[in-house]
Amino acid sequence: MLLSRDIAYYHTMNTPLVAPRKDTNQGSLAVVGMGMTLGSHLTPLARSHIEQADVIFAGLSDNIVEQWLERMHPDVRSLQPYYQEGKSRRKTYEEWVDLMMTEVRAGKRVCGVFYGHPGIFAWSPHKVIEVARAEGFQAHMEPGVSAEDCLYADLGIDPGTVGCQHYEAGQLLFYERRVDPSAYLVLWQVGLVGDRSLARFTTGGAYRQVLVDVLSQDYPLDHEIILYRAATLPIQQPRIRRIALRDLPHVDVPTEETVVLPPAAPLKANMAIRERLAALDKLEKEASLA
Amino acid sequence: MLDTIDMLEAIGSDASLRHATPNELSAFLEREHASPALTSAAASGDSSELFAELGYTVMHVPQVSQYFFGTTS
Repeated sequence: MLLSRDIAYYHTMNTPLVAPRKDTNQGSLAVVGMGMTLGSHLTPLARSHIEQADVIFAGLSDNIVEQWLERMHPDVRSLQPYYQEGKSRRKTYEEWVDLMMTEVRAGKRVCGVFYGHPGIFAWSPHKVIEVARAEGFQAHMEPGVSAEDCLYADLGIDPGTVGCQHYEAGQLLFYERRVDPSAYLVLWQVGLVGDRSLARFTTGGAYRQVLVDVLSQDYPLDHEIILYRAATLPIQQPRIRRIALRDLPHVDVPTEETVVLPPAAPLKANMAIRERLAALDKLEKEASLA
Repeated sequence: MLDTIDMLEAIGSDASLRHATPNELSAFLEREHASPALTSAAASGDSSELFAELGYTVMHVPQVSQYFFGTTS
């Protein structure tokens, strides 16, 4: 029988269920975000999922945060050992899905814990939910405070002012994209931009030079850009560096740092559309007076 | 007495501690008999000083990159 809560559940999920939900005493999956900063960002609901699970799988960015997670549950299994230099991350992420699903199929309440928001730049959390639902298990994601959220706060950027574009940096190299220099541009994982092997954790300055060459089609080389890293420990401050675009190939860019390009051009008024809207306003006003 | 992980959680969840100056925070940690590594790290803002106490593990952070979607396993 389909309960009202199940109907609500179906309607709130992006990935449609393709199989009926199994009994609640069978395995289940929750994928939650740990937030970025130890002690500051973990939501009460995410913590509850962690404490009520049978087994935890952890994809975190800081081993001290991982130790904190181990205080919350006796069975925390780190996903870090599955990363290896020279091994495709595709293989690693598929292994993560298999690890979590093995325990779900064994009837366990599984919780996957990922740093930041579990659904941003994260293939495995989305995939494991898709697989679990397809097999009839209850599965869902709880959001977390992401690096993007911290970026807005620490850099004082409101994406609502002039707009904000986000790309995994490689997308600008692998595909022909149209960047709007009148909006903010945020590039993620610049530290490994241009990697086609999926088996490296960094790429060198020559790869970032290719990125600079692409960006120079829309931005002057002396345009000030920001390199940003959120704090993961509460004794840290965010790392914020400002350099000229042309210098990007010549500075160290760790993978966890994000590059922000502030707008390089003013917003351009769309006069034709403004006139059309003014005409509509006039029509509505005339109709209200009639 | 709280250990270092507990102390970090306490700092992260207390508004006055999370945004205290390094001097204020290290003074608080000394009063609370926090470990020398944590007190020193708080004063300097260099969390690597905690590695001696809590151990160091290389943690990889890349998640999916764009080329991932264009490849097959």
